[in-house]
Amino acid sequence: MSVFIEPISRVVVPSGGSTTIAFNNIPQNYTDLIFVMSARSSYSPGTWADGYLNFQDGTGTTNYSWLKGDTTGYGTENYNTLNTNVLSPYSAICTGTYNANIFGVAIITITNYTSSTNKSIISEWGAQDASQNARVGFGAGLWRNSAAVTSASFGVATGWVAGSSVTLYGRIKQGI
Amino acid sequence: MTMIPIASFATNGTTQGFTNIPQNFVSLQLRISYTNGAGFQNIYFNGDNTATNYYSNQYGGENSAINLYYGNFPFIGYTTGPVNSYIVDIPDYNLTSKYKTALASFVGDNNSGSTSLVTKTAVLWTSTAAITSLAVNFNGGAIGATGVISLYGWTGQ
Repeated sequence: MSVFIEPISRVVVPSGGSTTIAFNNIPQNYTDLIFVMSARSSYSPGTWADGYLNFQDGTGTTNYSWLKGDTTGYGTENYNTLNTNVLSPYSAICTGTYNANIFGVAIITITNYTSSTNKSIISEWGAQDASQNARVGFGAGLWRNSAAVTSASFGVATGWVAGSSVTLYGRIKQGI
Repeated sequence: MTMIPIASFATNGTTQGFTNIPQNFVSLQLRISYTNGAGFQNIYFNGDNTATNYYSNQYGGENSAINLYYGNFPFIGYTTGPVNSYIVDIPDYNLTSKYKTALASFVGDNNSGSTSLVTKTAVLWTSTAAITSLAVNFNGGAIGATGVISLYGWTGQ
C-alpha cells in the first residue's frame, strides 16, 4: 500500500483544559506539515475568537503576516494583519452560548517547512452552531524566517477546553 | 501509516453509502468525483436524513463570494461540466463527546469558459453518536459513468 502522509503526533487536551496545544521536536524529513484540529476555546461569554499559531520564535518577533476571509452565516468578512507577533489563520468557536458539544474544525498546511526561505501557511476552517451562526473560510499566512519549523504552538483566548484535539501529519518526500 | 482506503464505489447510482465504518481512525475523509450534479445533493450519517438535525454555512460561490445557509448537509454540482469534485473531512468522527463538524471543499466548472463554483462548507450534525455509516444522496442527479466515491480513514499514530 502506498503511504504518502504519516501521523507525527496527536494532542488531546486533558481535563481542566490547556492554554496552548504545542508540538515540539518536529521531524525534519517531510515536505509539508498538516495540522488537523477539532477544538473549542474556553473563552466566555465570547462566541468566536481568533485562533493563533506561533513557531519556535514565539511571540517575541513581528515576523508574521496573515489574511483570511470567511462567512459568519449572515455576511462575509475579511481580515489581514501585517508584521505582527502571531499568525491568526483561523477562527475558533468559544464556550459562550453555543452547545458544549460543538467543536470547530481547522486544517492548516505548512508547505516546504524545512526550507531556508520564508514559510507559507494555508488554512481552512469551519465551525457551525445549531443555528445560522458559523465561521467558515480560508486563510493564508507568512512566517518571515529562514529557519526550519521545529515547533508549533496553537493558542486562543483563555485557552482550549478538554477534548480539543490536534493531529500533526507529515507529507513524505519519497517512498511510495 | 495513515490515510487508509476504507471503500470506494464507481457505480452510477443515485445514492451511495458506506456502512460498518471502522472506528479505529481519528478522522474520515470522503472524496467524490461526479459528473451529474442535477439538483441539490446531500449527505447524511447513521441513517439520519432529518434535515433539521444538520446545520451548515457555505463560503464562496459561483464566480463571487457569497454565503448561503442550509438546513442539511448539502452539496451541488454542474450537470454539463466535465467533473465536480467534493472533499469532506470529519475529524473525531468516532468521539461520543462531540457533535460532529465536517469541513467540505467543492470545486466545479461547467465547461463554459465563464462559470465555476468554489466553496468551503462547515456542517454540524447535532448528534454525539459515532459515525458508523454515511450515505450520499444525489437527489435526481447521479455520480455519472466516470464518477467515483471513496472513503478514507486517517490514523492518529
